[in-house]
Amino acid sequence: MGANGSSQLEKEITGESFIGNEHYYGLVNFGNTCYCNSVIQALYFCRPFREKILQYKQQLKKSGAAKENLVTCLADLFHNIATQKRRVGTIAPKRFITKLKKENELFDNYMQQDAHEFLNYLLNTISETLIEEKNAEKDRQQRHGTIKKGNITVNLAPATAGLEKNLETAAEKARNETTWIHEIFQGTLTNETRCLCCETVSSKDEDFLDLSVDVEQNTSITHCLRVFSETETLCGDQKYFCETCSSKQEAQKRMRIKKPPQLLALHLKRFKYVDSLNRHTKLSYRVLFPLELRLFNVSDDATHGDRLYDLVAAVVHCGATPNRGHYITLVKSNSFWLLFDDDIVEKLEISSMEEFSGMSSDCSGNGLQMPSNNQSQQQKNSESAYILFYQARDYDALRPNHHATHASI
Amino acid sequence: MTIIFQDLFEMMLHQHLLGPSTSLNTNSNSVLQSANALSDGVLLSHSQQPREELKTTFETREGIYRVMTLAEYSRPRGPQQYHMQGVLNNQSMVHSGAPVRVSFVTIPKDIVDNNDTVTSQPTSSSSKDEPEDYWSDKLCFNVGKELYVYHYRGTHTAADLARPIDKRVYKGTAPTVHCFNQELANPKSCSLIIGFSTGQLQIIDPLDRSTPAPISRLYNEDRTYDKSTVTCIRWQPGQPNIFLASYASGNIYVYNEEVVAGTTPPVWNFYKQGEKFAVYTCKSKIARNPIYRWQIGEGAIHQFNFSGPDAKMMATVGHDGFLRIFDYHNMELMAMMKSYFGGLLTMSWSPDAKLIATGGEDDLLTVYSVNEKRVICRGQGHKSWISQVQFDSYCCTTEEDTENIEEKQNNSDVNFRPGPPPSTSSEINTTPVMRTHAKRATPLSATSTLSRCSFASFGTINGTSAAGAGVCYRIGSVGHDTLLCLWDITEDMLKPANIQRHRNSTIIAPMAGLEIQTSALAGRLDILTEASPAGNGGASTSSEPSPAVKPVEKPKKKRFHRRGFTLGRLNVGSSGNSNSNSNNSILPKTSNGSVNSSDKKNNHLLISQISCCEETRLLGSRLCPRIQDVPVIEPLMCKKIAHERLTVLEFRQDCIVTACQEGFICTWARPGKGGGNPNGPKRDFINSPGTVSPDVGGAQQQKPNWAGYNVTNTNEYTAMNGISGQQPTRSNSSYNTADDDKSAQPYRVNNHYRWQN
Repeated sequence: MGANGSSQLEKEITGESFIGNEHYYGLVNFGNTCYCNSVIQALYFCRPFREKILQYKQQLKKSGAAKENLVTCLADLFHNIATQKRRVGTIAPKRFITKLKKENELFDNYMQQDAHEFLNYLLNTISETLIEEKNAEKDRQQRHGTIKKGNITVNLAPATAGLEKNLETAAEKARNETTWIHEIFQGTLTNETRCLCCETVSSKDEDFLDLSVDVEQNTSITHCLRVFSETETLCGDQKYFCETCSSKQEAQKRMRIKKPPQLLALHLKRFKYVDSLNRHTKLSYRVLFPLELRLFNVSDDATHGDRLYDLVAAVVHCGATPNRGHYITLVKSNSFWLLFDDDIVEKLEISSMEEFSGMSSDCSGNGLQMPSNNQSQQQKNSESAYILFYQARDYDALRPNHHATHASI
Repeated sequence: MTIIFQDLFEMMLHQHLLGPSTSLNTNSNSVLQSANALSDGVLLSHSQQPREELKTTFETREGIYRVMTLAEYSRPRGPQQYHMQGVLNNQSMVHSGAPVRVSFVTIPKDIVDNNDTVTSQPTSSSSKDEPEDYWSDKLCFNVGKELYVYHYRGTHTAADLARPIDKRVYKGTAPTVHCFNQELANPKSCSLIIGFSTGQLQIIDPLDRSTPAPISRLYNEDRTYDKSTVTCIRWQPGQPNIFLASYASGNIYVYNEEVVAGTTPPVWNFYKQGEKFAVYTCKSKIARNPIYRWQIGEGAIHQFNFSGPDAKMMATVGHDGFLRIFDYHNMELMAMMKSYFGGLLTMSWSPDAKLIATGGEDDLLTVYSVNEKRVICRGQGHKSWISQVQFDSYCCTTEEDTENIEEKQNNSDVNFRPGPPPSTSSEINTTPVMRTHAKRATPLSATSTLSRCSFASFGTINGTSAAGAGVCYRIGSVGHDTLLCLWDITEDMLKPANIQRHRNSTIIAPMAGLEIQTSALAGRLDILTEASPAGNGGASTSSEPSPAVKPVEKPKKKRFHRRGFTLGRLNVGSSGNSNSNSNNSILPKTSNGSVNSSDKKNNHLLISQISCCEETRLLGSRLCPRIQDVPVIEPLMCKKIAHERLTVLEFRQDCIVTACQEGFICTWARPGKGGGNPNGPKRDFINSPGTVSPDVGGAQQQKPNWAGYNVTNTNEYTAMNGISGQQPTRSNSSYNTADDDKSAQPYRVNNHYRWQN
């Protein structure tokens, strides 16, 4: 099946007026690892991310064999895909999966995992690893003195300070350290609170790597983002302590985006805990996602507030419950869309994208469908986008800068 | 791939005999009940939510719209039958399949006569087996792989789902769009083009009852022209044999019915080119179809339409997010607009062809001025993509309307104008394009009275500089969010916002605008009696039709903003409002400036002036202004009216028609309409047994009304209302309702960044 699908795709893409030398490789499933495969595919087709990972691989090559970690495994996998002779095929991400299971017991089983959790874990791990390596590099520089290298001026000052203090600042730095993960995914939210008594507006910024938004039936992601930033009134028990008034006051609060990230990862909160059922259920709501997006919920002082985003990848959850089911990935490459279902890769008509937005409640729950004979139907129909990756269109324009400043990381 | 047609007509009839009331059960509320009954025992579903009850009425300024639950159309099967027949998969297909579309045709009368047409009807229809349907409008809709044609009786009688005129089930392909040929329609024949998901086009004649059944004509049968889905079909206005079909491939093909459909794959010759579009002809010794191919933009063309009966302009919207306006006959691109983001899914011309409304994947309504080539405003109210926008030409007051009013006020005391003359009656209930024509000839009575009221009251209210303007466009939109929204575009919003200060004032003071609007509305009504030269109060005077008044050709027809001027003239005719001068002085510069600029622009109308190619960055340009650079308006009314996404919105004279993906076609009677049916009141209660069957007796009872309905002449119009005991005219009754209705949310300009202020 997989092989057949690939050759079919190969035919299709060579028939296209095909630009570039992109590789489309399905990933073998090692028993419920589709949560992992789907996220990896999505990230592979987030070009900023892929470029950084491949760069990392290049550095790795230069600096010699580093200790194997999750990042090196991912870099190897990406490199492996990107350097294949054939344009389509399948690859077994065995080393990566083994490493993942070894590093985190959460994933060390054959259970279905949450793709969003995995994405978070992966991004955090990469960024931690990068920071560690950076710090290790610095330490080495300091230990070896700064004579060998050319770019030492900055490092002189901490080097002259006491060792203990130096360690402290390093730890401090590590916390606020930014890596290319942050450059790509990190945006800033501003949390504005307005005291209804004195009208003072106070704001607090917080960074995010992805946004988790609540979903509603028959809406669009645009609307979900609007709701995310809707003004809520803090009253009753939730009264807000206003520093100007020095007392608890009713206040209005809202959270808007101050700095939209280069790559906006939107997580649709489709898995909701229902008290009465005592478990998580899936909200298969039909939430449409446009292929282009601008944010409406930006703050007034936002930079790039109205930048245009293009959907580059979407992780789709199939199935009716959180614990069972399947993950697949939709990916945009050049001008067409592809569907990655573990080791199967298929071309996707743009018109069928809408089918992955979920289903209307009235279809799923109008009571006319018998659960017994309709299970497969329902399963099929609850293919609903779970994580959306929107990439800023101005990314390409910013790239030269980007490369120059951050190539060292 | 060939299409297999199955006529399941007989089978379906049989089904219906099983349960005469099944058709009634298909209305959504019945489904609700049966769903709840089942869900207790059978369903183990996790996210089971009972269907929320839908409202059967909504209220606007002009009154209450009521859904005519018995006039609901759907596929003729009850939910129980679904179950038994195991058509579950089929139903799921419907939900994910091609959008449900509805098209109408109005059968014109054989004898065109202004006054006494009704008398000819019984005689001509007596020979038919369906006399009461002989002259009725026809409705066509597609659900899943099925296509139905029914008699459409509007708000007047219940839908009789047992008797479709035509029903077709397709295999291997699904009908996606369809369009009647209004211009050639008659009681015995009408052409219906059907477009398919696999690219074919079929022309059938659902009214042709001859045996053997007439052979339908097929275009692109072997998919040699185009393999993609047909997205939109239109007949070229004024050319009854030419039709156009747009495709998901980004092409529009022009076909001539009188020319042979070539069977060989066409070889295309380049004909004409412009920015991101090209026109090709078919290389052939003899003329063959398709006669032209327009290749426009990138990706699918979702909808297109002509500006009016002259087909002077054609506008397209598509996947690439562009609205493109072409000089159709010269094949030149005249103007473009880009969505805020994402594809544009739908567009509609205003009745006067001055504005275009679009909707799409940015959840925004965008109103574009064709003459000024700029975005007038954006509307925010939908929670998902907008699937259909439509101007309500029966609720629009255009420039011609207001000028006619002035004229009349100068010349006579009659403030009610006749409906469209019979010659245009055939075009009344069809596409907006058709209506435009009728409307231009004689603008509609309801709205003209409305505008007159506002003029009359003008200047008597302090500080109402912007509100109560004469020109007003009503736009409706439906979307994937199951919401129906209505929007009003008033004259003050049409003013060019050239100066930054202007822009700010529009955006920043929304609440002030709101109050003014409301007070103006109320004020207008209070003042109506004294301001009216007739002096009898609007309601009674305006009931008098005046066929004598004919449309007036104005020398400066195209002036856009001349309110100050208008007021001056108005005051001559009406009972002098001295305050108008002060109003006049508020905006003298704007008026003058805009007069000049719009006149100038009109001269350039036909000249293609596309400079957008040089614009590398669209945002912030005229093609796609930033969100803060144009006013953002909120809907006048916003209501959830379906359980599934809405796909259809049509404004008709006495009703609004909506349809959702479940395949329910609903008729919403306009204020004061729908009362003519004896069954009418019962329909408003969902929980009533709903067993009022569309029996023959009922139908006959309605015959007088029915006759009146079909003729758009004001005489019958009034008579009909008289029978039903309603207010004499729609315009006044609706207006009076508005007086009582303070709760209806008036238009207001929304400040997007209001929170900080």
